[in-house]
Amino acid sequence: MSYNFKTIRPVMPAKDMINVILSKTQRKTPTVVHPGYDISRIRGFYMRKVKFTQETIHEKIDAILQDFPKLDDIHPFYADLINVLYDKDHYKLALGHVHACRNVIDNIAKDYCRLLKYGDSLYRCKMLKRAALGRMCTTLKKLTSSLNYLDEVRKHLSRMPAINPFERTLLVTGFPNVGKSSFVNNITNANLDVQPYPFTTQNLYVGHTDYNFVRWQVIDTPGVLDHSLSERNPIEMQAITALAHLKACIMFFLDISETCSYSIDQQIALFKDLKPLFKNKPLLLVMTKIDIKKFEQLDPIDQQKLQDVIQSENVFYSQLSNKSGEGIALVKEKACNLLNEWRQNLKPEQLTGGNPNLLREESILQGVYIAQPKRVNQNRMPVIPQVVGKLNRPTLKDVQEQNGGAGVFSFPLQEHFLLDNPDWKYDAVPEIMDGKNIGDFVDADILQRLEELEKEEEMMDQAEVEDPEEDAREEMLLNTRDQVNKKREMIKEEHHMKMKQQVKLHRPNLEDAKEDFAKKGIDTTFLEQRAQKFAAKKVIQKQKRQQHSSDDSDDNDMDIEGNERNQRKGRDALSRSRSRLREISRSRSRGNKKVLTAQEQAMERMSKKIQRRRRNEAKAGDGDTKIDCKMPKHLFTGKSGIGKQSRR
Amino acid sequence: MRIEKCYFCSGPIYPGHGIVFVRNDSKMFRFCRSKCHRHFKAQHNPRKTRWTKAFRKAAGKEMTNDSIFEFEQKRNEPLKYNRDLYINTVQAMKKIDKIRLKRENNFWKNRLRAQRKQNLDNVETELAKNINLVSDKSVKEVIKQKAIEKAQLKAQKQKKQQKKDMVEEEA
Repeated sequence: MSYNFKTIRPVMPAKDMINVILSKTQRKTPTVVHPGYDISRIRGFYMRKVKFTQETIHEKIDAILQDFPKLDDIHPFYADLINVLYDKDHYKLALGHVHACRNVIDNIAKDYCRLLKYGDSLYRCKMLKRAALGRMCTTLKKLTSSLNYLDEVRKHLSRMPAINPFERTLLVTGFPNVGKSSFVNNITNANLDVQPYPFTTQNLYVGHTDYNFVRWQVIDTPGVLDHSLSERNPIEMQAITALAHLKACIMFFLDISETCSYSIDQQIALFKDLKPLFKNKPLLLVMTKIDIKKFEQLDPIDQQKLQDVIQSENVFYSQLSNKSGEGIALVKEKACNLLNEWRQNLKPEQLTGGNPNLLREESILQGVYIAQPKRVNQNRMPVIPQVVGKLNRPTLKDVQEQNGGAGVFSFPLQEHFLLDNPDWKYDAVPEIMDGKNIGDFVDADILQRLEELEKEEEMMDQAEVEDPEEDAREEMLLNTRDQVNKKREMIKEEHHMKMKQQVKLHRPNLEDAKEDFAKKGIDTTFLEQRAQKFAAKKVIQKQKRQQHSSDDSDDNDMDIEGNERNQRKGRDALSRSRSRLREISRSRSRGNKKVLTAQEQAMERMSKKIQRRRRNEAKAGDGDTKIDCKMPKHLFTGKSGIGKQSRR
Repeated sequence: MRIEKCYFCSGPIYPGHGIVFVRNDSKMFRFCRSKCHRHFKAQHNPRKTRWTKAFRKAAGKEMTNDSIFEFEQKRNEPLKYNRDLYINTVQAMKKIDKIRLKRENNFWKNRLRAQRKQNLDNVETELAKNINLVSDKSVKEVIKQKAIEKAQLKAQKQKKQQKKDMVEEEA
């Protein structure tokens, strides 16, 4: 039993609906089919489309039918209201039409699917599907007017005020222009249109107010005229519906001043006409516009008439003025009390319509009594205990101020330390020493343990088995080894130096050579002979040089070069050795296989050695690659960008 | 301030150095430098990484259980400050350190004792080769003696071996 019609979905006009459905079919079903396919596949393809369309339409129509309220299922107040506003018959017909359309479409789909089962070619199946969809769409087109009507109903329904038929309500009725809307404006937050012309209010309006901590609805109705039911227009009918169905306290407004252009007589007549509607409901007769004319100021005849009505109907009455505000609160109170009393006599099912939540609410509200405590102590003073009240020493704040203020003064936390000896308070405690944490060693009985440790150490010292022999031997051997190694190194160095020096010494002067050999005890006569030979050779060479051109043999060139070099530097081992060798080999080739003397052998060996070394020295080995600069600045500066990285 | 121990290498971590990793089970791992941190992240076992103290202790290369290690312990309950106690502690620490060093050196010496003998024998043979360079006469005598002994032993062995072979041949 909902009273909120805002959740009805918008109803599409028929044209739009057709477009939507067809485009959905196109999108959501497979689109490709070829004549070469299996016939069952083709049939399935087209049947799918037909079925899909039918299902979509079915869904959409279902949505409409579900959303719109069924007049039999809702509260009779709303059913009547809808009837009044939209004509029950028209409403039912529209919905019925839509419902019937749905069935028709289902049948179309069924028929054509049956026919499709026997379609024997792609073309035939296609035509069948086309026919099916076409017929469905025509049926939908016929719904245009119904759908339009339903959409209008929906729009109007959604704008209806949410009147809860089960909430406490005050219903305000009377002739037009009597002051009903002004009253509702006064009581609630509503902002209703108040104008001097009649039928300003044309619909029911709801305002909410509070009384006794509970929410109350106040319903403003359009003015009612005095004629028979069949003559009433839809606007008045709304008011009548509200009067008929809502369980509310009815407040009949009567304009004493007759400024609503209706006399008191007419109003009383209306009152009597509407009496059957007021049956079994709390009724309050409210006399309005007393600021213009008071009840006492009325003609005694009118006064008498009113008195008669009140007495005869046995009805409660009250006065108010909307403009001045006089009596409004009283009226409200009276009306609310009346309704509350009346509600107490009703059964809870009647009040709540069987809704369990509302039942619970009701039971709670009826049992609520809010108790207020008696206030004994109006003034509560602060309580400060006597001890604290008087301080002799200066507070910390005073100390702070003395020593420079908040930012300057820092309270020494050590002041309140409780140590064995108060002198220790301001000690700077060491934490780390020699890579260790002092805190790890601190122990109450550390001295005792240290003593034990030292004793242990003494014992260990005594028990140690030293091997003095072994130690002495070790010392001796290692020392000698060091000495020996040093000597070896020295010998190596000397040898190295010698080898280098020997290269230099290889071509000494004749005198030096003689001396040298004399020291070593070697015969020097062969030296003089050799020197003579050399001298002779030189002369011959010179002559040859003068005769021949530059296309001479390599030997001579080499010789020349060698000699020149020799002359320049005086020490060219290669040339010397070569020349030496040549001499020896020449002597050999002439058949004089000389048995070389010791010196000559030594010479030979020496020359070979030097050649060997020179030969090796002349070539560059693996270790000879020398890179002076491994990272030249010009190759390693700058950003790389997107460039290659093959060069590093 | 406290000098912590690195989880991986067991080295000291001074204040302002290293990284602390706190795991989801709230266990803290401190590292002295990124080297240790990287090893940890690579899930290396410090007991198998040769340069760490953990390896050395596990492999028996360092002194592990000794009464001197009971002096240095992380204490969770602090004592109330007592100036005399602190003075004593500082003095005691120095002594303890000295003793500890002594004991450690001893330990290493003992460990290398077996090697030592072999080393000295090697030195002897080396000197025997270069005996002409040895200046000290007494030492020379000693070395010569040793060399001769060695040669004799070798000869004996050879003879034995020959005998064995002959016996085998006959058999």
